[in-house]
Amino acid sequence: MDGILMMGGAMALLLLLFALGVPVFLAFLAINTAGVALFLGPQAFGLVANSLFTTASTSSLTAIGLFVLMGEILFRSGTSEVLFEAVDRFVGRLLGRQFVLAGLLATVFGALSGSNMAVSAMMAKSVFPGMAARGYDRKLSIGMILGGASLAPVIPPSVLTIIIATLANVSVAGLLLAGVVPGLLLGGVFIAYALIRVRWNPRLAPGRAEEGDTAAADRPGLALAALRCLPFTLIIAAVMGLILAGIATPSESAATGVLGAMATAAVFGNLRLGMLKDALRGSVLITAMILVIMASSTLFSQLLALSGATGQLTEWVTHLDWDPVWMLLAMMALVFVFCMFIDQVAVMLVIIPIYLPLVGVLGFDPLWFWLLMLLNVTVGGITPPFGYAMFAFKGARNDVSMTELFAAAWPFVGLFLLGMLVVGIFPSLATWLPGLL
Amino acid sequence: ADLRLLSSFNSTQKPTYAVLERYLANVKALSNGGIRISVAGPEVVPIFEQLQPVTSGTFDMLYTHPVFHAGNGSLALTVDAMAVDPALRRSSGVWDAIDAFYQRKHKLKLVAMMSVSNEGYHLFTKQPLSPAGDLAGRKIRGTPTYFGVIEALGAQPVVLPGSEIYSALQTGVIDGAGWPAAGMVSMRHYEVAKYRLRPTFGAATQPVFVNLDRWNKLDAKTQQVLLEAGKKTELEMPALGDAIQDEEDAELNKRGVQVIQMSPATAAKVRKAFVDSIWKLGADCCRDEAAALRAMAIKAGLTQ
Amino acid sequence: MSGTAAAGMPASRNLAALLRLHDRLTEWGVLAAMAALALIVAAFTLEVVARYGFNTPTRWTADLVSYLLLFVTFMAMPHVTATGGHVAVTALLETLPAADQRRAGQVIALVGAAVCALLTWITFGETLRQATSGVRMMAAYPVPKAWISLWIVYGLASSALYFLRLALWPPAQAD
Ligand code: NA
Ligand code: NA
Repeated sequence: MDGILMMGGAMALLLLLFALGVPVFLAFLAINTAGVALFLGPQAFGLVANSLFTTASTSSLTAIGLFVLMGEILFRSGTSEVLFEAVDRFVGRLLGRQFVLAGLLATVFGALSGSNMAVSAMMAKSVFPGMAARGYDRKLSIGMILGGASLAPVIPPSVLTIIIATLANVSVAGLLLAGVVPGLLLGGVFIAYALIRVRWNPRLAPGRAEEGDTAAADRPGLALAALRCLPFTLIIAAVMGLILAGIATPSESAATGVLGAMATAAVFGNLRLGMLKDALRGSVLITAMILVIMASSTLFSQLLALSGATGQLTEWVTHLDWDPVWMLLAMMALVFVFCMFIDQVAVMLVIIPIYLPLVGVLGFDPLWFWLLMLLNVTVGGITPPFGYAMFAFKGARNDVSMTELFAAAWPFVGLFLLGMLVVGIFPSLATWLPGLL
Repeated sequence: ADLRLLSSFNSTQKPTYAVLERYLANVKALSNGGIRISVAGPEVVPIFEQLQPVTSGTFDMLYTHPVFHAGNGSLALTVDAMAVDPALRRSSGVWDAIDAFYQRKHKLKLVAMMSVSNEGYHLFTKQPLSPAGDLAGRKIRGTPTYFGVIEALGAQPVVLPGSEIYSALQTGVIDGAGWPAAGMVSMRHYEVAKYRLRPTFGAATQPVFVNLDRWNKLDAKTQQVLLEAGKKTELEMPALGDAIQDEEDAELNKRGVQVIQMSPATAAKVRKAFVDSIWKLGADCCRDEAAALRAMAIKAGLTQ
Repeated sequence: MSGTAAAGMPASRNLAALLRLHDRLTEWGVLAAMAALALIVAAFTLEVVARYGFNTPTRWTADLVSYLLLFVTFMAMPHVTATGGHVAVTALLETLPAADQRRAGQVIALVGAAVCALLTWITFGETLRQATSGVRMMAAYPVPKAWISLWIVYGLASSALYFLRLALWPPAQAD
């Protein structure tokens, strides 16, 4: 009980500091250090120092810096503009077409990367400014990017999926494949949602005339537009192709993706030293901002694990002894609430071993259950108040406030939950593809 | 007494966790439940950072593999290059030498130094050995512990984080990997690599340490139980671990992971390469102590 | 591009000269971080080429890039602090009148200075411990851990100083 009280207190304090406008990383550092001093004593301060060290030197997190750099280069070299123009050219009559582009790109880059933060920051840098400048509704644009970025751990490759599968003792290949259909489905749902919103309220997207006129005069022909998109596929090839061909690991492919972005910029004649320097500068500042938060917050969930609160609450839920359907809802609800406040991987390390025996008892299909769990922890990246994907977006776009991000995220959290409901009702959406193995 | 133990392994890593479970069960039985040990795992402190919090007294006990503190003065790592003979490890003076080293260097009292089983480490691959009986030209993931073995087989070591092994095998970035023999099932590597090389090499050694200040404050009875449980588990463990390894091997056979036997000459070369790598790490860590320990182990016939 | 312009500056000319040195150091830090990020790209690319093209994987890339990531983070951190760039939820603050906002910002900066100073002391102590007991990274090339930890100390110490500057001499216009 002490642990749970402590957990409640720590979360309340965290919320209070957030609300007062204390920078996120400071709130975590203050609470973690105070927590260590109070409950473990000052001789344990080494834990604080080491957690900063371990997180900031996690090699898979280099993908964040590299994807941000990719986004910076695409934006600063005007390469992202080429894509906007091509979309105008191809589907110029479709109202809200750039929402479709944002959704598609976020899904594609989500598929390339395993990190929602990396994609969120990259898209915030490369695609968001163009959409905002064209008069697309900011909130809906942000939401599309956050939603699409959240698909990164769902669609393979994904380290999070491998961690969950290993802990949960289900086929890694199976769980990776299980994410493909729900991931693409969610991507589709996001795009459909944007188009429906625009249909109801055309002011969310610039009118056909306003946007079309300028483009019509000096718009390149259809063939030329397609041709101009071609270099862009270089990047996708540089990332995805090298992974699939077994040439590079996902982390390495983020670096080759940067080279791909440089090559694309070169094709359009925009590869200049000054541009690269600005891109590097922007990237290190964003990377620092994101990683400082990550490094400061890791210990929070570790201390909660140490207090025993996470485990006690999870044990409590597993002993509710309800019908399977209600058990499923309770088990998922607990994870959802945890992930509003704490880091996903830390949540998984505590919860999975406790849930594991119950999955068999309740007669759930393991792949289906753990895929729901994957979707559930993934959406944690965009549930306020603590969501890495939102922090990453904010890091990349200082002119967007956290309040705006929170407001933009909620509808997409809702869509995610809707997607989980659909997968929950139709398990074959998850189990069909792995069944072909 | 109530003691807080930090573990580098959690319950999902069954073969390695079984060693700790056995030790805890023995402590419980020998103390009639008088000693209560609560376990915190890697979800509380990441594995590579666990030594310091026990040295500083934040936790009372540590259950780990010495490679996790290899950069920190890890003399116990060299026991991986010694025969799995718990009695001889004690009578030869090896056990006491390591105990003395950790007391002096890390303020930690050694209470148990158990082997997971008689099988230590192995390589597993996507393809069988070449006609020449080696892995020439292949890329095998490994840590410094495995570099010698990988090179002895004519392959190139690739350094990758453990979490990336699965996908690197799947896509073909690497052709195989080195890993404890007990772990191919829990890590699900069998899904993407269908051959395991035998014989295994080395001995996975799992010590339990107690913070020295805490140790000195424990009453003699408690101290004796912790030590006695260590001695008992050391003796029980190789056989118990072999049974678990048999289950693991049966599971691998069922999953279609074939055993590839190395020729006796290759196996000897592999074993020597491993032992050399381990003693080199020992020398890098603690030159004089490692040299003395090696002399002691050679004299007792525990290592080459 | 003088990105540290938002950082606080006192009226005293001698002190201001000293603090401009601080700003210059921060700028060098950002440049070093930029070089480090470029090095990550180069190292990963080299590893792919060496491993796939020449079947000679390196043994240092994986470790080097992880150290470089830490370096990038803490070398660029002071600049983020100086420009008030850390992520915060400012909705409540924005409802306050300008003068109160300014005062609240000063209080938060003071908290930031205290927290970062405490963390500087903690990480410095840990780095010193690593140096004196000879802790090295567990890697193919076991470099001393203190060489890497040291950048955390730098990032936090410089940030503490910036928070103090922001508390004492808040920027004229909070935007
Ligand atoms: Na992905
Ligand atoms: Na969240």
